[in-house]
Amino acid sequence: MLRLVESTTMPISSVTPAIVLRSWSFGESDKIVCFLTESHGKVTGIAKGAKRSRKRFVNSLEPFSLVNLRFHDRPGTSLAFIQGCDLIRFFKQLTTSLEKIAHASYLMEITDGLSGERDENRALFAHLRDGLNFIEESGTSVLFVTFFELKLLMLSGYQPMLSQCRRCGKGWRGEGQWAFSLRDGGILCEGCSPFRREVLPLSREALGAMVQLQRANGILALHLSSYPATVLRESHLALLRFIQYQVGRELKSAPFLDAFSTS
Amino acid sequence: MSNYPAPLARLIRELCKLPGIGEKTAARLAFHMLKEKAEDVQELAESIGRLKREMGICRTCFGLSEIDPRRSDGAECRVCQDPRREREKICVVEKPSDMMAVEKSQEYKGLYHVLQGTISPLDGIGPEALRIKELLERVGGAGVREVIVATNPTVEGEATALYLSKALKPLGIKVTRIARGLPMGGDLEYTDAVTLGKAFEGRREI
Repeated sequence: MLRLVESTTMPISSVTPAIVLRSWSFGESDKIVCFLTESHGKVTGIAKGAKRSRKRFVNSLEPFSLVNLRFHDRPGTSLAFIQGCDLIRFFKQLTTSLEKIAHASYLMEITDGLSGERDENRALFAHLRDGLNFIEESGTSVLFVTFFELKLLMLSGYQPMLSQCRRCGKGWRGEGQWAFSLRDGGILCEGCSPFRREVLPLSREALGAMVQLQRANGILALHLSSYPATVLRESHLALLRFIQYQVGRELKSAPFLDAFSTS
Repeated sequence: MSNYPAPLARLIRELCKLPGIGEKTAARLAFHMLKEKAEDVQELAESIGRLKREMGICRTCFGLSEIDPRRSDGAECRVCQDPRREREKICVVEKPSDMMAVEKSQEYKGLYHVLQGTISPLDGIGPEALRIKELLERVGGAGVREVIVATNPTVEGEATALYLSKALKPLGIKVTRIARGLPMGGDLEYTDAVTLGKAFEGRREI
């Protein structure tokens, strides 16, 4: 006789270091939390009773927290079940100035926008962790933000082509009037740019800075770099527009970055 | 729900909209009301109706107040009207329920200002969306000497506190932040690292 036996297997739990990207209330006592994990990419899950829990989630679901996340998947939904979170480190210096809060929020929003759910990317996780660490220890600057944007675009698969024209392949050698094409994801030469839409004019100096920063080895190399503030701002604004184009919406934290930046 | 008679089903459906109330609890409450005396149920319905008709926002502190039909510019809450309150102190909170929580402590005798939210870069909520402009006007016009920032110890709460400090200090106002640390009856062994760290940061001489 055939008998149907209901499966009683326990769901398989995963444990991974993760950074809390954002969280919001869900119902009376639950929270939905979005993490960037080291080994499972972006994970969004429900933390049951998180608003009341004094044990499982205490102080570990705030943005700017590096945690050890325990979760398992639930059948029929992409929303994971968050079993618990242990705080590894809270980047507390980030909350000591509006400028740091604005910069860290921007880093987290662009990382969130350019990373995919369950798309394992250890380098991306390390980049965000190092970025938050850099702001905490060294403060904020347009130079750092521009470097972070360029490396994030590279790690998430949206690296803009800055060495040659995206249309005709003509190499950039530091001369002529070039432009940045949002649609093509790279630069266009003087001959090609008039025929394309969604094109931003880009000065030679700003393009030069972007090329050098794209090749920079790491955050520490920034201490050796020096560019005029106007050049860096132009580079950052072009990259911001490109990121918004890829994400498909205006970034909420961008006006804060603008309002609370002093450098 | 289709098994219930129509008036009962309608009440259950309405009760289900309340926070924390599922269908089972809603049905239990509805059956309870069915058993109650007609005048008691009428009283409950009347209280709910009056809540929306008679409650409003205080024109001074933006906390909860009873609507004064004689005034077109809105009423003042009991705290703002009370002459015994210390008028040189204003405690800034995020929402009206936080004001109630501070009142319960019976430690604070000053006035309040309810911001109706917090600055949140990730949600795109800036200072202009809150009652900060009104706070600055209030502080500039009266004899206020201290503003106590009692926003929650979250990233958004901290951002709001930092913004207020920056906006108020040029006016010559003392700006303080409520302390953070261990709860009464708590145990060091079971306290999380962030709270314990804050408790050490805010230690005082005894």
